[in-house]
Amino acid sequence: MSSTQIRAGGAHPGTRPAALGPGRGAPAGLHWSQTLPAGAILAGLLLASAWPGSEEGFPLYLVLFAVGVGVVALARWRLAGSDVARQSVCDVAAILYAILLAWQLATAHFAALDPMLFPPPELTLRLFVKELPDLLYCLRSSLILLVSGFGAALALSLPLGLYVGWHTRLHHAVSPFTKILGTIPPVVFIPYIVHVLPSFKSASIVVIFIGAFWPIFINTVAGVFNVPKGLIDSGRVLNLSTRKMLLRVVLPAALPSICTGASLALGFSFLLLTAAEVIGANSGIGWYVHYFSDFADYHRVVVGIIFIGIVVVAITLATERLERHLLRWRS
Amino acid sequence: MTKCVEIENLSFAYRGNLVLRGVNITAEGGDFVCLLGPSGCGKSTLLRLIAGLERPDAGSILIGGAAVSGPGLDRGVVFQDYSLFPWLTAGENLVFALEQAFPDRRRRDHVEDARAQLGRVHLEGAFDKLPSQLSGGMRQRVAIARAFATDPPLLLMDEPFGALDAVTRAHLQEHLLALWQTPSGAAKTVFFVTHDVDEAILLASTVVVLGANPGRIRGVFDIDVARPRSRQSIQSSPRYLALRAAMVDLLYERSDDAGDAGTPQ
Repeated sequence: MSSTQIRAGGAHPGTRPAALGPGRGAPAGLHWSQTLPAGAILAGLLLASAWPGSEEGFPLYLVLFAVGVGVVALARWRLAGSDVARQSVCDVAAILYAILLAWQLATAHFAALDPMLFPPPELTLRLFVKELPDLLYCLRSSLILLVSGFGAALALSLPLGLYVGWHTRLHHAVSPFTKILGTIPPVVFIPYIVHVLPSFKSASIVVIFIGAFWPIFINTVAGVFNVPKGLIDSGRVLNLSTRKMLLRVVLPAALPSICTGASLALGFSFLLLTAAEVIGANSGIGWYVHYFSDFADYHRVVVGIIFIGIVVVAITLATERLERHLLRWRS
Repeated sequence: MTKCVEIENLSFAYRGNLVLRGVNITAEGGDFVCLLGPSGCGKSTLLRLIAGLERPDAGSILIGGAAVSGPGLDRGVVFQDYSLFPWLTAGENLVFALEQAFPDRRRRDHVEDARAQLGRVHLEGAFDKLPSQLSGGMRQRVAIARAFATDPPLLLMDEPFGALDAVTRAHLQEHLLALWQTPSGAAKTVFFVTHDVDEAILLASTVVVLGANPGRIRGVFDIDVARPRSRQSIQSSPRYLALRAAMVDLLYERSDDAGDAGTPQ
Protein backbone atom coordinates (compact mmCIF):
# COMPACT_ATOMS: atom_id res chain seq x y z
CA MET A 1 0.00 0.00 0.00
CA SER A 2 2.52 2.54 1.12
CA SER A 3 4.99 1.41 -1.53
CA THR A 4 2.53 2.09 -4.35
CA GLN A 5 1.89 5.51 -2.89
CA ILE A 6 5.57 6.30 -3.02
CA ARG A 7 5.81 5.09 -6.59
CA ALA A 8 2.86 7.26 -7.60
CA GLY A 9 4.54 10.17 -5.84
CA GLY A 10 7.77 9.41 -7.65
CA ALA A 11 6.09 9.72 -11.05
CA HIS A 12 4.71 13.11 -10.24
CA PRO A 13 7.89 15.25 -10.30
CA GLY A 14 8.68 13.90 -13.77
CA THR A 15 5.56 15.47 -15.16
CA ARG A 16 6.06 18.81 -13.48
CA PRO A 17 8.71 20.50 -15.66
CA ALA A 18 6.53 20.00 -18.74
CA ALA A 19 3.61 21.57 -16.91
CA LEU A 20 5.78 24.43 -15.71
CA GLY A 21 7.42 25.14 -19.09
CA PRO A 22 4.54 26.90 -20.86
CA GLY A 23 3.64 28.63 -17.61
CA ARG A 24 6.81 30.72 -17.90
CA GLY A 25 5.41 32.14 -21.16
CA ALA A 26 8.74 31.64 -22.97
CA PRO A 27 8.46 29.06 -25.73
CA ALA A 28 11.64 27.38 -26.92
CA GLY A 29 13.38 29.03 -29.86
CA LEU A 30 14.66 32.50 -30.65
CA HIS A 31 12.01 34.97 -29.66
CA TRP A 32 12.23 38.38 -31.29
CA SER A 33 11.99 40.18 -27.94
CA GLN A 34 15.12 38.39 -26.73
CA THR A 35 17.32 39.69 -29.53
CA LEU A 36 15.67 43.07 -29.96
CA PRO A 37 17.97 45.12 -27.68
CA ALA A 38 21.16 43.57 -29.06
CA GLY A 39 19.94 43.88 -32.65
CA ALA A 40 18.84 47.48 -32.22
CA ILE A 41 22.12 48.58 -30.66
CA LEU A 42 24.12 46.67 -33.29
CA ALA A 43 22.13 48.49 -35.99
CA GLY A 44 22.92 51.78 -34.25
CA LEU A 45 26.59 50.86 -34.07
CA LEU A 46 26.74 49.95 -37.76
CA LEU A 47 24.92 53.15 -38.63
CA ALA A 48 27.37 55.18 -36.57
CA SER A 49 30.23 53.37 -38.31
CA ALA A 50 28.86 54.14 -41.75
CA TRP A 51 28.30 57.79 -40.82
CA PRO A 52 31.35 59.83 -41.79
CA GLY A 53 32.95 60.57 -38.43
CA SER A 54 35.99 62.65 -37.66
CA GLU A 55 39.37 62.06 -39.31
CA GLU A 56 39.25 58.37 -40.18
CA GLY A 57 37.68 56.47 -43.05
CA PHE A 58 35.35 53.51 -42.74
CA PRO A 59 36.00 51.67 -39.40
CA LEU A 60 36.50 48.22 -40.89
CA TYR A 61 37.99 46.64 -37.75
CA LEU A 62 35.13 47.86 -35.58
CA VAL A 63 32.49 46.50 -37.96
CA LEU A 64 34.33 43.17 -38.25
CA PHE A 65 34.64 43.00 -34.48
CA ALA A 66 30.94 43.75 -33.97
CA VAL A 67 29.97 41.10 -36.54
CA GLY A 68 32.40 38.66 -34.90
CA VAL A 69 30.81 39.25 -31.52
CA GLY A 70 27.42 38.62 -33.14
CA VAL A 71 28.60 35.32 -34.65
CA VAL A 72 30.04 34.14 -31.32
CA ALA A 73 26.85 35.20 -29.53
CA LEU A 74 24.72 33.30 -32.04
CA ALA A 75 26.88 30.19 -31.63
CA ARG A 76 26.66 30.42 -27.85
CA TRP A 77 22.94 31.05 -28.13
CA ARG A 78 22.51 27.85 -30.12
CA LEU A 79 24.55 25.88 -27.58
CA ALA A 80 22.76 27.35 -24.57
CA GLY A 81 20.69 24.79 -22.68
CA SER A 82 18.02 26.98 -21.14
CA ASP A 83 15.92 30.06 -21.82
CA VAL A 84 17.75 31.88 -19.05
CA ALA A 85 21.13 31.12 -20.66
CA ARG A 86 19.85 32.21 -24.10
CA GLN A 87 18.50 35.44 -22.68
CA SER A 88 21.78 36.21 -20.94
CA VAL A 89 23.76 35.63 -24.16
CA CYS A 90 21.57 38.23 -25.89
CA ASP A 91 21.87 40.64 -22.95
CA VAL A 92 25.66 40.35 -22.80
CA ALA A 93 25.88 41.06 -26.53
CA ALA A 94 23.59 44.06 -26.10
CA ILE A 95 25.74 45.52 -23.30
CA LEU A 96 28.94 44.98 -25.28
CA TYR A 97 27.43 46.72 -28.32
CA ALA A 98 26.22 49.56 -26.11
CA ILE A 99 29.74 50.07 -24.74
CA LEU A 100 31.21 50.05 -28.28
CA LEU A 101 28.53 52.45 -29.50
CA ALA A 102 29.05 54.87 -26.61
CA TRP A 103 32.83 54.66 -27.07
CA GLN A 104 32.52 55.26 -30.81
CA LEU A 105 30.14 58.21 -30.41
CA ALA A 106 32.15 59.81 -27.61
CA THR A 107 35.47 59.60 -29.45
CA ALA A 108 35.04 59.43 -33.23
CA HIS A 109 31.84 61.43 -33.64
CA PHE A 110 31.50 64.04 -30.94
CA ALA A 111 35.17 64.19 -29.87
CA ALA A 112 33.99 64.57 -26.29
CA LEU A 113 37.15 62.94 -24.91
CA ASP A 114 40.79 63.84 -25.30
CA PRO A 115 41.94 61.79 -28.33
CA MET A 116 45.40 61.43 -26.83
CA LEU A 117 44.09 59.64 -23.73
CA PHE A 118 41.03 57.95 -25.29
CA PRO A 119 41.62 56.44 -28.73
CA PRO A 120 38.46 55.61 -30.71
CA PRO A 121 37.56 51.90 -30.93
CA GLU A 122 38.68 51.57 -34.55
CA LEU A 123 42.17 52.88 -33.74
CA THR A 124 42.40 50.71 -30.60
CA LEU A 125 41.41 47.55 -32.48
CA ARG A 126 43.86 48.29 -35.27
CA LEU A 127 46.66 48.96 -32.79
CA PHE A 128 45.73 45.82 -30.87
CA VAL A 129 46.15 43.68 -33.99
CA LYS A 130 49.41 45.45 -34.84
CA GLU A 131 50.80 45.07 -31.33
CA LEU A 132 49.63 41.48 -30.87
CA PRO A 133 53.03 39.85 -31.67
CA ASP A 134 54.78 42.12 -29.15
CA LEU A 135 52.03 41.55 -26.58
CA LEU A 136 52.26 37.79 -27.00
CA TYR A 137 56.03 37.98 -26.54
CA CYS A 138 55.46 39.97 -23.33
CA LEU A 139 52.84 37.46 -22.25
CA ARG A 140 55.33 34.66 -22.74
CA SER A 141 57.91 36.20 -20.43
CA SER A 142 55.19 37.04 -17.89
CA LEU A 143 53.82 33.51 -17.96
CA ILE A 144 57.30 32.07 -17.39
CA LEU A 145 57.53 34.06 -14.15
CA LEU A 146 53.96 33.29 -13.16
CA VAL A 147 54.16 29.57 -13.83
CA SER A 148 57.56 29.23 -12.09
CA GLY A 149 56.51 31.12 -8.96
CA PHE A 150 52.99 29.72 -8.70
CA GLY A 151 54.06 26.22 -9.71
CA ALA A 152 56.83 26.11 -7.11
CA ALA A 153 54.42 27.40 -4.46
CA LEU A 154 51.84 24.76 -5.36
CA ALA A 155 54.40 21.96 -5.51
CA LEU A 156 55.73 22.82 -2.05
CA SER A 157 52.70 24.08 -0.14
CA LEU A 158 50.36 21.25 -1.13
CA PRO A 159 52.37 18.31 0.25
CA LEU A 160 53.52 20.40 3.20
CA GLY A 161 49.94 21.45 3.94
CA LEU A 162 48.75 17.84 3.73
CA TYR A 163 51.47 16.71 6.13
CA VAL A 164 51.01 19.54 8.63
CA GLY A 165 47.21 19.30 8.53
CA TRP A 166 47.33 15.56 9.15
CA HIS A 167 49.66 15.71 12.15
CA THR A 168 47.67 17.55 14.79
CA ARG A 169 50.63 18.33 17.03
CA LEU A 170 52.62 19.82 14.16
CA HIS A 171 49.50 21.72 13.08
CA HIS A 172 49.18 23.38 16.48
CA ALA A 173 52.92 24.08 16.64
CA VAL A 174 53.04 25.72 13.22
CA SER A 175 49.79 27.67 13.23
CA PRO A 176 51.05 30.79 15.11
CA PHE A 177 53.80 31.18 12.51
CA THR A 178 51.45 30.73 9.56
CA LYS A 179 49.08 33.26 11.11
CA ILE A 180 51.84 35.90 11.27
CA LEU A 181 53.77 35.13 8.10
CA GLY A 182 50.67 34.45 6.02
CA THR A 183 49.09 37.80 6.81
CA ILE A 184 52.03 40.01 5.76
CA PRO A 185 50.99 41.55 2.42
CA PRO A 186 53.48 40.04 -0.05
CA VAL A 187 53.83 43.34 -1.92
CA VAL A 188 55.97 44.68 0.94
CA PHE A 189 58.57 42.00 0.20
CA ILE A 190 59.18 43.28 -3.31
CA PRO A 191 61.74 46.06 -2.68
CA TYR A 192 63.62 43.91 -0.17
CA ILE A 193 63.75 40.81 -2.34
CA VAL A 194 64.74 42.81 -5.41
CA HIS A 195 67.82 43.90 -3.45
CA VAL A 196 68.58 40.52 -1.94
CA LEU A 197 68.41 38.47 -5.12
CA PRO A 198 70.80 38.83 -8.07
CA SER A 199 68.35 39.20 -10.94
CA PHE A 200 64.92 40.67 -11.50
CA LYS A 201 63.71 37.34 -12.78
CA SER A 202 64.64 35.39 -9.65
CA ALA A 203 63.30 38.18 -7.44
CA SER A 204 59.89 38.26 -9.08
CA ILE A 205 59.63 34.46 -9.03
CA VAL A 206 60.36 34.49 -5.29
CA VAL A 207 57.83 37.26 -4.69
CA ILE A 208 55.15 35.35 -6.59
CA PHE A 209 56.16 32.19 -4.72
CA ILE A 210 55.69 33.89 -1.33
CA GLY A 211 52.38 35.40 -2.40
CA ALA A 212 51.04 32.08 -3.66
CA PHE A 213 52.51 29.83 -0.97
CA TRP A 214 50.52 30.99 2.05
CA PRO A 215 46.98 30.94 0.64
CA ILE A 216 47.50 27.41 -0.69
CA PHE A 217 49.24 26.22 2.47
CA ILE A 218 46.71 27.73 4.87
CA ASN A 219 43.72 26.43 2.91
CA THR A 220 45.26 22.98 2.50
CA VAL A 221 45.91 22.71 6.24
CA ALA A 222 42.37 23.92 7.00
CA GLY A 223 40.93 21.54 4.40
CA VAL A 224 42.77 18.55 5.86
CA PHE A 225 41.83 19.56 9.39
CA ASN A 226 38.14 19.76 8.44
CA VAL A 227 37.89 16.46 6.56
CA PRO A 228 34.78 14.75 7.99
CA LYS A 229 35.87 12.26 10.64
CA GLY A 230 33.56 9.67 9.11
CA LEU A 231 35.59 9.66 5.89
CA ILE A 232 38.81 9.13 7.84
CA ASP A 233 37.13 6.25 9.71
CA SER A 234 36.04 4.73 6.40
CA GLY A 235 39.67 4.86 5.31
CA ARG A 236 40.91 3.45 8.60
CA VAL A 237 38.61 0.42 8.50
CA LEU A 238 40.06 -0.36 5.06
CA ASN A 239 43.45 -0.49 6.79
CA LEU A 240 44.97 2.17 4.52
CA SER A 241 48.62 3.07 4.92
CA THR A 242 49.30 6.68 5.90
CA ARG A 243 50.47 7.37 2.36
CA LYS A 244 47.29 5.97 0.82
CA MET A 245 45.15 7.68 3.44
CA LEU A 246 46.70 11.05 2.59
CA LEU A 247 46.67 10.65 -1.19
CA ARG A 248 43.40 8.83 -1.73
CA VAL A 249 41.18 10.03 1.12
CA VAL A 250 42.50 13.23 2.71
CA LEU A 251 43.68 14.92 -0.49
CA PRO A 252 40.41 14.50 -2.42
CA ALA A 253 38.34 15.34 0.66
CA ALA A 254 40.36 18.55 1.19
CA LEU A 255 40.33 19.45 -2.50
CA PRO A 256 37.45 21.97 -2.32
CA SER A 257 39.41 23.98 0.24
CA ILE A 258 42.66 23.53 -1.71
CA CYS A 259 40.99 24.85 -4.87
CA THR A 260 39.79 27.91 -2.97
CA GLY A 261 43.34 28.54 -1.79
CA ALA A 262 44.83 27.95 -5.23
CA SER A 263 42.51 30.37 -7.01
CA LEU A 264 43.18 32.96 -4.29
CA ALA A 265 46.90 32.34 -4.79
CA LEU A 266 46.60 32.71 -8.56
CA GLY A 267 44.92 36.08 -8.14
CA PHE A 268 47.73 37.19 -5.78
CA SER A 269 50.33 35.88 -8.23
CA PHE A 270 48.94 37.97 -11.04
CA LEU A 271 48.85 41.07 -8.89
CA LEU A 272 52.42 40.53 -7.72
CA LEU A 273 53.63 39.69 -11.22
CA THR A 274 52.38 42.95 -12.68
CA ALA A 275 53.54 44.91 -9.62
CA ALA A 276 57.03 43.41 -9.89
CA GLU A 277 57.15 44.05 -13.64
CA VAL A 278 56.26 47.68 -13.14
CA ILE A 279 59.21 48.00 -10.73
CA GLY A 280 62.03 46.39 -12.62
CA ALA A 281 61.38 44.28 -15.71
CA ASN A 282 62.40 44.73 -19.33
CA SER A 283 59.61 42.59 -20.73
CA GLY A 284 56.19 41.34 -19.70
CA ILE A 285 52.63 42.58 -19.87
CA GLY A 286 52.89 44.77 -16.76
CA TRP A 287 56.12 46.22 -18.11
CA TYR A 288 54.43 46.94 -21.46
CA VAL A 289 51.79 49.16 -19.87
CA HIS A 290 54.30 50.87 -17.60
CA TYR A 291 56.85 51.41 -20.39
CA PHE A 292 54.45 53.10 -22.82
CA SER A 293 52.88 55.26 -20.14
CA ASP A 294 56.38 56.64 -19.50
CA PHE A 295 56.41 57.70 -23.16
CA ALA A 296 52.86 59.10 -22.84
CA ASP A 297 51.77 56.60 -25.52
CA TYR A 298 48.38 56.10 -23.94
CA HIS A 299 46.94 54.34 -26.95
CA ARG A 300 49.33 51.46 -26.34
CA VAL A 301 48.61 51.67 -22.61
CA VAL A 302 44.90 51.18 -23.34
CA VAL A 303 45.71 48.29 -25.68
CA GLY A 304 47.93 46.73 -22.99
CA ILE A 305 45.25 47.08 -20.31
CA ILE A 306 42.65 45.45 -22.57
CA PHE A 307 45.10 42.65 -23.36
CA ILE A 308 45.79 42.02 -19.65
CA GLY A 309 42.05 41.94 -19.05
CA ILE A 310 41.59 39.31 -21.75
CA VAL A 311 44.46 37.21 -20.35
CA VAL A 312 43.08 37.34 -16.81
CA VAL A 313 39.59 36.39 -18.00
CA ALA A 314 41.02 33.47 -20.02
CA ILE A 315 43.05 32.19 -17.06
CA THR A 316 40.09 32.58 -14.71
CA LEU A 317 37.77 30.69 -17.06
CA ALA A 318 40.32 27.91 -17.48
CA THR A 319 40.87 27.49 -13.74
CA GLU A 320 37.12 27.58 -13.07
CA ARG A 321 36.66 24.84 -15.59
CA LEU A 322 39.48 22.82 -14.05
CA GLU A 323 37.98 23.29 -10.60
CA ARG A 324 34.53 22.18 -11.80
CA HIS A 325 36.13 19.10 -13.32
CA LEU A 326 38.12 18.25 -10.17
CA LEU A 327 35.11 18.76 -7.90
CA ARG A 328 32.47 17.28 -10.20
CA TRP A 329 31.65 14.69 -7.50
CA ARG A 330 30.13 17.39 -5.33
CA SER A 331 26.39 17.53 -5.75
CA MET B 1 30.58 -23.54 16.96
CA THR B 2 33.66 -21.36 16.98
CA LYS B 3 33.80 -18.32 19.20
CA CYS B 4 33.97 -15.48 16.71
CA VAL B 5 33.85 -12.51 19.05
CA GLU B 6 34.64 -12.51 22.75
CA ILE B 7 34.23 -9.27 24.63
CA GLU B 8 35.33 -9.44 28.24
CA ASN B 9 34.76 -6.90 30.97
CA LEU B 10 35.10 -4.04 28.50
CA SER B 11 35.18 -0.46 29.76
CA PHE B 12 35.73 2.75 27.88
CA ALA B 13 35.87 6.38 29.01
CA TYR B 14 35.83 9.51 26.90
CA ARG B 15 37.14 12.73 28.44
CA GLY B 16 36.63 11.42 31.94
CA ASN B 17 33.08 10.18 31.30
CA LEU B 18 32.53 6.47 31.56
CA VAL B 19 30.85 5.50 28.29
CA LEU B 20 30.86 1.72 28.72
CA ARG B 21 31.29 -0.30 31.90
CA GLY B 22 31.96 -4.00 32.26
CA VAL B 23 30.53 -5.21 28.97
CA ASN B 24 30.64 -8.94 28.28
CA ILE B 25 29.40 -10.36 24.98
CA THR B 26 30.23 -13.61 23.26
CA ALA B 27 29.17 -14.28 19.70
CA GLU B 28 29.61 -17.46 17.70
CA GLY B 29 30.33 -17.71 14.02
CA GLY B 30 27.18 -16.90 12.06
CA ASP B 31 25.47 -14.98 14.87
CA PHE B 32 23.52 -11.85 14.06
CA VAL B 33 23.90 -9.66 17.14
CA CYS B 34 21.87 -6.49 17.43
CA LEU B 35 23.08 -3.88 19.90
CA LEU B 36 19.88 -2.12 20.93
CA GLY B 37 19.68 0.90 23.15
CA PRO B 38 18.69 4.53 23.58
CA SER B 39 20.97 7.27 22.31
CA GLY B 40 23.96 7.82 24.53
CA CYS B 41 24.14 4.22 25.73
CA GLY B 42 27.48 3.66 24.02
CA LYS B 43 26.26 1.15 21.43
CA SER B 44 28.07 2.92 18.59
CA THR B 45 31.16 3.24 20.77
CA LEU B 46 31.03 -0.49 21.43
CA LEU B 47 30.95 -1.10 17.68
CA ARG B 48 33.87 1.30 17.13
CA LEU B 49 35.83 -0.58 19.78
CA ILE B 50 35.21 -3.86 17.96
CA ALA B 51 36.20 -2.16 14.69
CA GLY B 52 39.47 -1.09 16.31
CA LEU B 53 38.73 2.61 15.79
CA GLU B 54 38.93 3.20 19.56
CA ARG B 55 40.98 1.47 22.25
CA PRO B 56 39.36 0.11 25.42
CA ASP B 57 40.44 1.42 28.80
CA ALA B 58 39.91 -1.95 30.41
CA GLY B 59 38.93 -5.43 29.31
CA SER B 60 39.58 -7.15 26.02
CA ILE B 61 38.07 -7.89 22.64
CA LEU B 62 39.09 -11.10 20.93
CA ILE B 63 38.17 -11.81 17.32
CA GLY B 64 38.78 -15.38 16.27
CA GLY B 65 40.93 -15.71 19.39
CA ALA B 66 43.19 -12.75 18.60
CA ALA B 67 43.06 -9.45 20.48
CA VAL B 68 41.97 -6.41 18.50
CA SER B 69 44.84 -3.97 18.13
CA GLY B 70 43.43 -1.68 15.45
CA PRO B 71 41.25 -1.62 12.36
CA GLY B 72 41.58 -4.56 10.00
CA LEU B 73 40.18 -6.06 6.85
CA ASP B 74 38.82 -9.05 8.78
CA ARG B 75 35.98 -6.71 9.74
CA GLY B 76 33.75 -4.99 7.20
CA VAL B 77 32.19 -1.78 8.51
CA VAL B 78 29.11 0.10 7.32
CA PHE B 79 28.41 3.50 8.86
CA GLN B 80 25.21 5.51 8.80
CA ASP B 81 26.85 7.98 6.43
CA TYR B 82 30.31 8.71 5.02
CA SER B 83 30.78 5.01 4.26
CA LEU B 84 31.43 5.76 0.58
CA PHE B 85 34.06 8.12 -0.73
CA PRO B 86 32.02 10.76 -2.58
CA TRP B 87 34.70 11.39 -5.26
CA LEU B 88 34.70 7.73 -6.35
CA THR B 89 31.88 6.14 -8.32
CA ALA B 90 29.98 3.27 -6.72
CA GLY B 91 32.10 0.80 -8.70
CA GLU B 92 35.38 2.55 -7.84
CA ASN B 93 34.43 2.50 -4.17
CA LEU B 94 34.18 -1.29 -4.35
CA VAL B 95 37.34 -1.61 -6.43
CA PHE B 96 39.22 0.54 -3.90
CA ALA B 97 38.20 -1.78 -1.06
CA LEU B 98 38.97 -4.88 -3.12
CA GLU B 99 42.45 -3.53 -3.96
CA GLN B 100 43.07 -3.15 -0.24
CA ALA B 101 41.80 -6.60 0.61
CA PHE B 102 43.39 -8.49 -2.28
CA PRO B 103 46.46 -6.53 -3.40
CA ASP B 104 47.87 -9.31 -5.60
CA ARG B 105 44.85 -9.66 -7.85
CA ARG B 106 44.64 -7.83 -11.14
CA ARG B 107 42.59 -4.69 -11.49
CA ARG B 108 40.44 -6.27 -14.18
CA ASP B 109 39.37 -8.96 -11.73
CA HIS B 110 38.53 -6.32 -9.16
CA VAL B 111 36.32 -4.47 -11.64
CA GLU B 112 34.57 -7.70 -12.57
CA ASP B 113 34.13 -8.63 -8.92
CA ALA B 114 32.82 -5.15 -8.06
CA ARG B 115 30.22 -5.45 -10.82
CA ALA B 116 29.11 -8.82 -9.52
CA GLN B 117 28.86 -7.54 -5.94
CA LEU B 118 26.77 -4.55 -7.06
CA GLY B 119 24.56 -7.06 -8.87
CA ARG B 120 23.93 -8.83 -5.58
CA VAL B 121 22.26 -5.69 -4.23
CA HIS B 122 20.52 -5.08 -7.60
CA LEU B 123 22.62 -2.06 -8.51
CA GLU B 124 24.39 -3.33 -11.64
CA GLY B 125 23.57 -0.06 -13.38
CA ALA B 126 25.10 2.11 -10.65
CA PHE B 127 28.73 1.14 -11.30
CA ASP B 128 29.61 4.49 -12.90
CA LYS B 129 27.35 6.60 -10.71
CA LEU B 130 28.79 8.94 -8.09
CA PRO B 131 27.32 8.63 -4.58
CA SER B 132 25.76 12.09 -4.98
CA GLN B 133 23.79 10.72 -7.95
CA LEU B 134 22.31 7.90 -5.86
CA SER B 135 19.50 7.97 -3.29
CA GLY B 136 20.29 7.39 0.37
CA GLY B 137 19.02 3.83 0.18
CA MET B 138 21.11 3.06 -2.90
CA ARG B 139 24.21 4.50 -1.22
CA GLN B 140 23.74 2.19 1.76
CA ARG B 141 23.23 -0.76 -0.60
CA VAL B 142 26.55 0.08 -2.24
CA ALA B 143 28.16 0.37 1.20
CA ILE B 144 26.77 -3.04 2.17
CA ALA B 145 27.92 -4.52 -1.13
CA ARG B 146 31.39 -3.15 -0.42
CA ALA B 147 31.41 -4.62 3.08
CA PHE B 148 30.47 -8.03 1.67
CA ALA B 149 32.82 -7.73 -1.32
CA THR B 150 35.99 -8.10 0.72
CA ASP B 151 34.43 -11.18 2.33
CA PRO B 152 35.29 -10.50 5.99
CA PRO B 153 34.11 -13.05 8.57
CA LEU B 154 32.71 -10.23 10.72
CA LEU B 155 30.45 -7.36 9.66
CA LEU B 156 29.96 -4.27 11.82
CA MET B 157 27.03 -2.01 11.02
CA ASP B 158 26.41 1.26 12.84
CA GLU B 159 22.75 2.20 12.32
CA PRO B 160 23.17 1.71 8.57
CA PHE B 161 19.47 2.32 7.89
CA GLY B 162 19.07 5.09 10.47
CA ALA B 163 18.72 7.91 7.95
CA LEU B 164 16.32 6.11 5.58
CA ASP B 165 12.56 6.29 5.23
CA ALA B 166 10.49 3.39 6.54
CA VAL B 167 9.85 1.72 3.17
CA THR B 168 13.45 1.89 1.98
CA ARG B 169 14.54 0.68 5.38
CA ALA B 170 12.27 -2.38 5.11
CA HIS B 171 13.66 -3.20 1.66
CA LEU B 172 17.24 -2.89 2.87
CA GLN B 173 16.58 -5.11 5.87
CA GLU B 174 15.40 -7.81 3.45
CA HIS B 175 18.46 -7.23 1.24
CA LEU B 176 20.75 -7.57 4.22
CA LEU B 177 19.12 -10.77 5.46
CA ALA B 178 19.29 -12.25 1.97
CA LEU B 179 23.00 -11.44 1.76
CA TRP B 180 23.68 -12.73 5.27
CA GLN B 181 21.93 -16.06 4.62
CA THR B 182 24.22 -16.96 1.75
CA PRO B 183 23.34 -20.14 -0.13
CA SER B 184 26.83 -21.46 0.53
CA GLY B 185 25.93 -21.47 4.21
CA ALA B 186 29.06 -19.57 5.23
CA ALA B 187 27.00 -17.03 7.09
CA LYS B 188 28.93 -14.10 8.49
CA THR B 189 28.85 -12.87 12.03
CA VAL B 190 27.14 -9.49 12.21
CA PHE B 191 27.11 -6.81 14.89
CA PHE B 192 24.33 -4.38 14.07
CA VAL B 193 23.66 -1.21 16.04
CA THR B 194 20.08 0.08 16.12
CA HIS B 195 17.63 1.90 18.33
CA ASP B 196 14.66 0.30 16.58
CA VAL B 197 13.15 -2.65 18.51
CA ASP B 198 11.34 -4.05 15.47
CA GLU B 199 14.45 -3.89 13.34
CA ALA B 200 16.41 -5.71 16.05
CA ILE B 201 13.90 -8.56 16.36
CA LEU B 202 13.48 -8.93 12.60
CA LEU B 203 17.21 -9.22 11.96
CA ALA B 204 18.90 -10.63 15.02
CA SER B 205 19.62 -14.03 16.40
CA THR B 206 20.67 -12.28 19.61
CA VAL B 207 19.63 -8.84 20.85
CA VAL B 208 21.81 -7.15 23.44
CA VAL B 209 19.91 -4.33 25.16
CA LEU B 210 22.11 -1.57 26.51
CA GLY B 211 21.30 1.11 29.05
CA ALA B 212 22.84 4.54 29.45
CA ASN B 213 24.89 6.39 32.10
CA PRO B 214 27.17 4.52 32.00
CA GLY B 215 26.57 2.26 29.03
CA ARG B 216 26.13 -1.30 30.19
CA ILE B 217 24.24 -4.42 29.26
CA ARG B 218 20.67 -4.47 30.56
CA GLY B 219 19.56 -7.70 28.96
CA VAL B 220 20.32 -10.32 26.35
CA PHE B 221 17.57 -11.96 24.31
CA ASP B 222 17.81 -14.94 22.02
CA ILE B 223 15.43 -14.37 19.15
CA ASP B 224 14.12 -17.87 18.56
CA VAL B 225 11.69 -16.86 15.81
CA ALA B 226 12.00 -19.14 12.78
CA ARG B 227 13.66 -17.84 9.61
CA PRO B 228 13.03 -16.73 6.96
CA ARG B 229 11.29 -13.95 8.82
CA SER B 230 9.20 -11.32 7.20
CA ARG B 231 7.86 -8.14 8.70
CA GLN B 232 4.28 -9.28 8.13
CA SER B 233 4.60 -12.84 9.44
CA ILE B 234 6.46 -12.16 12.67
CA GLN B 235 4.28 -9.32 13.83
CA SER B 236 1.40 -11.67 14.55
CA SER B 237 3.50 -14.25 16.36
CA PRO B 238 2.97 -14.31 20.16
CA ARG B 239 6.69 -14.93 20.69
CA TYR B 240 7.49 -11.72 18.82
CA LEU B 241 5.02 -9.76 20.91
CA ALA B 242 6.43 -11.13 24.16
CA LEU B 243 10.02 -10.34 23.15
CA ARG B 244 9.05 -6.89 21.99
CA ALA B 245 7.20 -6.13 25.23
CA ALA B 246 10.17 -7.29 27.32
CA MET B 247 12.64 -5.17 25.34
CA VAL B 248 10.46 -2.08 25.34
CA ASP B 249 10.09 -2.47 29.13
CA LEU B 250 13.88 -2.56 29.50
CA LEU B 251 14.38 0.41 27.18
CA TYR B 252 11.87 2.65 28.88
CA GLU B 253 12.73 1.62 32.43
CA ARG B 254 14.56 4.47 34.12
CA SER B 255 18.13 3.36 34.34
CA ASP B 256 18.90 5.10 37.65
CA ASP B 257 16.27 3.26 39.69
CA ALA B 258 16.94 -0.02 37.91
CA GLY B 259 20.32 -0.24 39.57
CA ASP B 260 22.67 -2.93 38.41
CA ALA B 261 20.32 -5.58 37.17
CA GLY B 262 23.21 -7.54 35.69
CA THR B 263 22.45 -9.49 32.57
CA PRO B 264 19.16 -11.34 32.90
CA GLN B 265 18.46 -14.03 30.37
